[in-house]
Amino acid sequence: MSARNASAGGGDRAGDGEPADDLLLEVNQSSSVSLSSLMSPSSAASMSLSMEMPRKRKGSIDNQDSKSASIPDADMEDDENGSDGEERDVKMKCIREPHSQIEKRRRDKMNTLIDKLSAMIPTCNPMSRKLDKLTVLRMAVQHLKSLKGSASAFSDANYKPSFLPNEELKHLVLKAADGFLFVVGCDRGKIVFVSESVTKILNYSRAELIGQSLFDYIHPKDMGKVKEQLSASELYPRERLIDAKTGLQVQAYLPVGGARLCSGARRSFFCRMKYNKVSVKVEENEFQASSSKKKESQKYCTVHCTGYMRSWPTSQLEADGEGEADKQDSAHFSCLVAVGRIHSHSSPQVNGEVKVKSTEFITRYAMDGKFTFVDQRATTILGYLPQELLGTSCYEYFHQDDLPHLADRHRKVLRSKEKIDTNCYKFKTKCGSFVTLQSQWFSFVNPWTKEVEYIVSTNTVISQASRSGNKSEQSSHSKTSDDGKKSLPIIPGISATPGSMIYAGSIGTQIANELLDFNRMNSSPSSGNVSPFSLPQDKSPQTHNQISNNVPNGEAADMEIAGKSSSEDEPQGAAFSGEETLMGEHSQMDLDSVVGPGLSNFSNDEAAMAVIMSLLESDTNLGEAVDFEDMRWSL
Amino acid sequence: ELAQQLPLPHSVSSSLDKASIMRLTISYLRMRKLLTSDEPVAEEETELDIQLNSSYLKALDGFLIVLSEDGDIIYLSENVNKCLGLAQFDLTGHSVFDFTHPCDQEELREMLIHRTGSKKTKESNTERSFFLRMKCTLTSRGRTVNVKSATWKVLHCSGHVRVYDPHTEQTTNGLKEPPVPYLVLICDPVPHPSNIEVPLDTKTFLSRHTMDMKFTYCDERITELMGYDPEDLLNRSVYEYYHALDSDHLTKTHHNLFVKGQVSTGQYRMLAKRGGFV
Repeated sequence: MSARNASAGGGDRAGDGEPADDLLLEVNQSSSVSLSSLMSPSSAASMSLSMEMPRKRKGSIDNQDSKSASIPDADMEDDENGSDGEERDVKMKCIREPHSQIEKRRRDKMNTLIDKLSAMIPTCNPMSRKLDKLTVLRMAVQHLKSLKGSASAFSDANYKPSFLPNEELKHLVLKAADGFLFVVGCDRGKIVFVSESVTKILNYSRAELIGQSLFDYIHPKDMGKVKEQLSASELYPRERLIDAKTGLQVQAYLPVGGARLCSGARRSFFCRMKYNKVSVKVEENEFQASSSKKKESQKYCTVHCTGYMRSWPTSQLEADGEGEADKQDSAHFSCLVAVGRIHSHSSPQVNGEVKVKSTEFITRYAMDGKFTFVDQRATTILGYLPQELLGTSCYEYFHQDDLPHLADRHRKVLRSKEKIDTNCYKFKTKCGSFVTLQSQWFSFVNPWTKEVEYIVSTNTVISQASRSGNKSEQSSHSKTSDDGKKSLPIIPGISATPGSMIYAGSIGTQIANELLDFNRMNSSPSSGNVSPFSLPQDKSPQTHNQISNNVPNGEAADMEIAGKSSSEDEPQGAAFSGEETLMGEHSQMDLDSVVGPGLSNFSNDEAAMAVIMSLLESDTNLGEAVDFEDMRWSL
Repeated sequence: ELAQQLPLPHSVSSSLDKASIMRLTISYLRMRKLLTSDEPVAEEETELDIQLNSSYLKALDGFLIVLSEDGDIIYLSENVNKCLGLAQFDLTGHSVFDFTHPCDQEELREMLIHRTGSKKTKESNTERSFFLRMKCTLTSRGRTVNVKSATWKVLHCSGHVRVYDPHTEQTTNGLKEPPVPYLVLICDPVPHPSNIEVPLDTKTFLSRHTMDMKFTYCDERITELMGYDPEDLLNRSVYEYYHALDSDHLTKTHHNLFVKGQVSTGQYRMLAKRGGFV
């Protein structure tokens, strides 16, 4: 045998001064080989016996402290024997490592188990010093004996020992689930037995239920279902089976008649059972007829019943004093033994108030208010697909009344690093109506370029209940419309030349421009203390914007002048504004050529926007306000 | 010797190795400890009662498992081998995490945590219900295979976290042990449509769906239950029929389905043809 060879080889090597581990390995193997014969009835007794043998043998070899407690396991034998066949030298050394580790692991495991055991046993606990293993085991044996002795149920002759006696099992089941056991006869649905726990669940006492028909306690609509489950008759001869491979239903004509009712057949179904409301004042109910009492407390709970069919010899049932004439006829009484459980988690949570997650969606804007990202949830709220919104400026959709406020917020968010809340505002949906939103804006600044990359907006739909925000909008609107131009929204910082309306796209871009100019001015060292962009003042932005306001109807001269003045105004931003005005001219001309005089005639601002958008798309941050006299907000 | 003391059938106890014996002893003692803290049964039991005590386990579809706070299986009922093919005594005392799907272990750990309510007497919810994948060594033919080649089976585990509070016990050195929470679960297998041993009644109908829950097939039993013809439903997503308040729960269940493979929903409401919810 390979093991013997190994031991022989080991023996040879012993003389060479190999560490004792090697020897031990051999010894282990040899001893384990001999042990394997002993292992077949590997009860604890034999194990302890065999433990002695290797101990003795090892005792004769030096240096075996580390291994004295090792117990060769059956598994390890295989490992060792299998690996011995190979080149011994190399393998031995390789095995040594894992082998010792395996040994160590096993020892540790045993030690922890022994510790746990000692913790369990009451007599072991108070001992101050750590007991050795054998003692612990002995005490465990004693303890178990004592436990056995105290439980009288064990003395039953028919006792088949199981890990837990049935009674305690029952308790466990009850702990795991709110359940009760019930036995009903199949022919009439008579409740033969019900366990104690039913009172906790259905609030009926045991005495009330036993002897009654089950169908009295089942929801009327479920009666048919339960009847089927209990019935023996073959109403549905064709069992519908699903072929596991193809997943298709196979109509199989099975001789199911007998199978349905045979003992052991399982049932599982859900049904609604009545439960009694806890009646606080019993006196009041005394005068009521029992039927009406039931009417009052007709609440049902869903019970998941699982069980099996069983046939009872009637003699037993008669002993309970419930024998009936019917039962005496049949020799066996088939019934369903089932456990009914309440799954309270499965019924819908009705809190009284419906926890509806507030509909919100997230959008991202570029600096000038154009959508760069739209959450897909926006579609259900706004009606627009994300692609319809992308690239368009958010100002197109804001309600007229809300523009001042939102523009102000826009400005604010570009400058601050915190989240800015807007009031409620109205957003135009695809079908033309408005939905009230409230947003939280937050600008994201690229840490390297220090530029505002985009604005993240979390938009929440506000139900109509909140009106306060709107009111403030109203008041501000009324204030600013003093100049008589009611149809024109006045946005602070963006002044409109008389007769012109603020173009939606322009608002965003203008605001963005302000910021850029501001940044440019600040970034260039010679900018001095020009800070024209403080919010209340807004002087130069105004002029700036005035400059940007193009009037397409032939005010090109103004344009040029404006361009010059703008360049004067902001020397640092000259190049920038120069571009802008150039573009402005360009766009103006384009507009003239493309749109012509018809621009003002556009009743549908969207179409006009589309045109202008395409122009604006050619530049990134430049804003051209295209004036449109009769451009109306489509409301 | 210790093995003989364990209340096990002789055939089993004689074939245990040392480690197993230790395991089982520890588990046994633990169980005793946990159960002795119960209130004594007030009523006397009739004979029928005693007889039927044994049927609890048989009546249940699944098996019972008791877990300690750190996942050790303190007790496992016998019918686990009917359900999973694993033997009761092989598992007892081991950590449950050895037998559950790695992706579900996190979930299981959360379930084991028992947070005692704050002093404001907020009753912590002791109920637990979740789906767990465990190793199953039963083949479709009913034979058992080696644990190493086990497949995963989805179990619906429901139960409670109970606390064993030893305040009534007096240890000899007067030290009070901290309350030990443990989780008692009943694990039911989720029935697979191709393997229904329980006859389905008329109130149950079968339907098949694509992955996004559009009907591809529906049993005709739905007609009398809800009024729809099966053809009406084809190619429509079942989400159209769910009650809004239930949609949260059903979406989660749907997610679970993709993660675990099988799932069973709770109660939910579905729109019937002529209005109203079923």
